[in-house]
Amino acid sequence: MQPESRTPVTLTDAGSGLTRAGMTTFHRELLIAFREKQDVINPLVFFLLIVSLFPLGISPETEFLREAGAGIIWVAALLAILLSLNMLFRNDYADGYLEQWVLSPQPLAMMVLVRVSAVWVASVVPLLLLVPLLGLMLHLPADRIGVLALTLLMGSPVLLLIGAIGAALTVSVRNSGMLLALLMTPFYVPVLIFGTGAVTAFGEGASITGHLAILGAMLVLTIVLAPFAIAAGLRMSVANG
Amino acid sequence: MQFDSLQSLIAMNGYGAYVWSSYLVFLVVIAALVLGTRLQYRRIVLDQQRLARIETRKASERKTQNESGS
Amino acid sequence: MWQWFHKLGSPKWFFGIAGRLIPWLGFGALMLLGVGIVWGLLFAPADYQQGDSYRIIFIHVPSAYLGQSLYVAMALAGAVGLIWRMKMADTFIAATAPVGAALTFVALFTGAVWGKPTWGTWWIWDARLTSMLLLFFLYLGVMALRRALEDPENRARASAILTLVGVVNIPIIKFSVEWWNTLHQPASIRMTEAPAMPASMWVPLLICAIGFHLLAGWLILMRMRNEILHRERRARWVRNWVLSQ
Repeated sequence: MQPESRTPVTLTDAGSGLTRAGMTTFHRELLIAFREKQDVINPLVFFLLIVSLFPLGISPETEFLREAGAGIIWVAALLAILLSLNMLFRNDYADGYLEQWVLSPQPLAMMVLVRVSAVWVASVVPLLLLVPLLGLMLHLPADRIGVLALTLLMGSPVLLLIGAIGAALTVSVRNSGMLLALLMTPFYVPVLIFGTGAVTAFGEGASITGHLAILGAMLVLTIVLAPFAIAAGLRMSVANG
Repeated sequence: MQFDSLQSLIAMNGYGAYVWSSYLVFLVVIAALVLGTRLQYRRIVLDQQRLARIETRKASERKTQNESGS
Repeated sequence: MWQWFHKLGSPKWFFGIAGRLIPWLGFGALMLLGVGIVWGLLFAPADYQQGDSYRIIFIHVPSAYLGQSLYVAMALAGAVGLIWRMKMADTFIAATAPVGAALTFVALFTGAVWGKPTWGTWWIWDARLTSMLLLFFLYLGVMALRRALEDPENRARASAILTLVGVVNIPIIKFSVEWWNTLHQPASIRMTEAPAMPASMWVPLLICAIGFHLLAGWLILMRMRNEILHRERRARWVRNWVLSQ
């Protein structure tokens, strides 16, 4: 409890330099992410398509859709995110930009977090915006759609971050789509379970604080730890790929 | 012995199919692993032996070339 | 002790030691599994509730246990490989992944088959089988990743990272799948709810379990020797050894 022992913060302090670097990188990454219109639109269209398949393939009955709707939307979002993993590092690996990233003085874990955040904003948030519409299509009541959107809001960064670990490990592999799906599935299942579990519990009138707490814990843990694993994977792929 | 005849051992009081198929699958899987390991060994050793033969042949060719050339 | 640890990192030393251990492990496995299985199949009394179908336990439980512990072992090897940069650690992962995957498959199959007389269906999405299925995917993932990466250094580090992240995920999977299962199963159907197994049942089970461990060790050491022969193929001692076969 002695303020004097803390090092004074000055403008040349590493902390503020890092934050500024982070903000500029985030801004740049955001621009890059939005520039590739395909990368924004493709997951969106895929999301819509997959959700549409279920009523067509199984049953358009309101009863069924209301019960299965949350799960359908969650699975479709999961698949859309899986598909978007490729765009995270592939292009930069191909044109050598990734090497510069690895060699740059900024901590790689932070830059990775910034990149993934930018991709999340550009490619995943649009999916979230589509959820109310899809929920309506599947006859979900409005409040349940709200909970669904919340679980997706909390769960999608987890999916993207964990997926980024897989993407970093396989960035030098061609046609890694199937491999990524195989690698990621066991990791996605717990998130899926608690995401959909929350909506189901809400539908039955039960409390969802437990589910949200667990999702929140997963989110925090992943944000803190995943960037280091992603950075390790990238370093390794760049050095030996 | 819990079973008084070969018949009853195989039948296992109605559960025969389940029990024996489980044990059979176990044996098959282990056999496959052992076989796979043996084949892996053969492939590696034979490949290396073949390469060693090629190398010694090349070395002796070079040697005779040097002797006759100079 | 540290000296032993360093020796462990020498392929040539390991090759020799493994070569001496393998026959003992194989023999031991054969003996123990022979005794355990015969005891379990023929001499152990039938279960009060499940009749003779429970005899699958002598295969199912050891393979399920090993399936899990081998993955943890791979993760440990991965950590050792990353921290101390030991090549042998990756050799272990290469050798163990197929063995672990195979045993997990056996556990899945026997678990499903056991379910049919017990619950009436061939497959049931209960906590244990579903967790086992996801573990199987984790193994397949490691094997597929290794096949996809050509550079040995890359492959070693990637496997290490993957198994480490995977091992962290295993308890999370178990927790979430168990929780998920309680939602969808009104009555909790638990397969190994053996309140108190009489000695006539758990002794053969224990013998089988030890036998399975020896079997796994036997297979893994053999495969590790193959890996060493391949990786160290340029070394003189390997060349001499190969030519003497």
